Amino acid sequence: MLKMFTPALTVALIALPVQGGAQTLGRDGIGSLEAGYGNARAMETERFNPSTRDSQGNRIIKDGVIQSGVGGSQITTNTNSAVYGAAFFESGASNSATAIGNLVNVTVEGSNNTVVLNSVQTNTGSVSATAVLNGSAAKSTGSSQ
Amino acid sequence: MNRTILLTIAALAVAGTAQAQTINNGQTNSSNIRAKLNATVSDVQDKVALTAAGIGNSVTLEGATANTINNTQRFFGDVSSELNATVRNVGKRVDATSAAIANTASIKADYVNVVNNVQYANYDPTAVLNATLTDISGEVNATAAAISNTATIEADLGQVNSTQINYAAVNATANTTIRNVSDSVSATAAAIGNTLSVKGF
Repeated sequence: MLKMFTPALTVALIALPVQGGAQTLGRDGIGSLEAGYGNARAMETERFNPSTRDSQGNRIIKDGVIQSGVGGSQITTNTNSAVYGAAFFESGASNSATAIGNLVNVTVEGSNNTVVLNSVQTNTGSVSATAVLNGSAAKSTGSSQ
Repeated sequence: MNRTILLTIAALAVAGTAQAQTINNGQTNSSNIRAKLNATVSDVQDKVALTAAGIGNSVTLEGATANTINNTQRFFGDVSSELNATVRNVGKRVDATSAAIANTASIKADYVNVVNNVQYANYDPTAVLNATLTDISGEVNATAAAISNTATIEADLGQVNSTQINYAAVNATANTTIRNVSDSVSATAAAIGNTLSVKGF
């Protein structure tokens, strides 16, 4: 009896992957494989964009790396940062504590500018901010680098 | 602080008299800087501003054109600020600020080709604000800010090389009791190791 069931089970196992693979790829899937990596459909008819500038023509190079322009040529890095804020007491009242280890903010205005920034920031000290308003505390501690 | 102010004025004069200049600023401070203000203020119809600010090294450069600006600031002292304020019955805005800063540089020019900025801070900036503010008709801003190194550059510029090293603990504490305020209230404690802001055109 065992010899009778084994071949049938093997055929079933082989058939399942073949069927599943065909469903995953489909016509477009096979086509994309045939086209090769990075050569999607109709890509050859599109213009190559070599620009490293944003829509305003500005370019920021930070530590030797061209930054992708996002929304007005601005980049912000903020490490070891923690912010805690709480609004209470009454409408328009806020209590906040902000602790920041290292912060870089770059903004480029105008157009067709290139700004090269080489920045090194090292923070090994503890950074602590505590704000207490009417007995309610907000505390933020930025860890050391 | 006197030496710091003189250096600042000298740098300003150079920047204002010629074009395409190189400006070198070097500041080293190894002493302790402490600012403390105890203030009790009441029954004021206008606005009230109270500030305790301790600063190790500070430079402000403003002008038209410079080829290169070199700024080096080293602070090996201890800087602290403490503001103890009791304010009541004020008709307008109240600002209470306690600020301790080791190194600060501000550069504003029409054009600078290269800015080289180096800042070191070794000891602990500490800002403390203890404030009781009551019966204020205007807005209230209570701030404690401790910063080791800060640089702000605003110019049409080509390149910025900046190194900021902070080995110090940075602590800001704001203890505030604020009641009966007609306008907005803001109580803030901010502690920052290194901050660099560049705005180019």
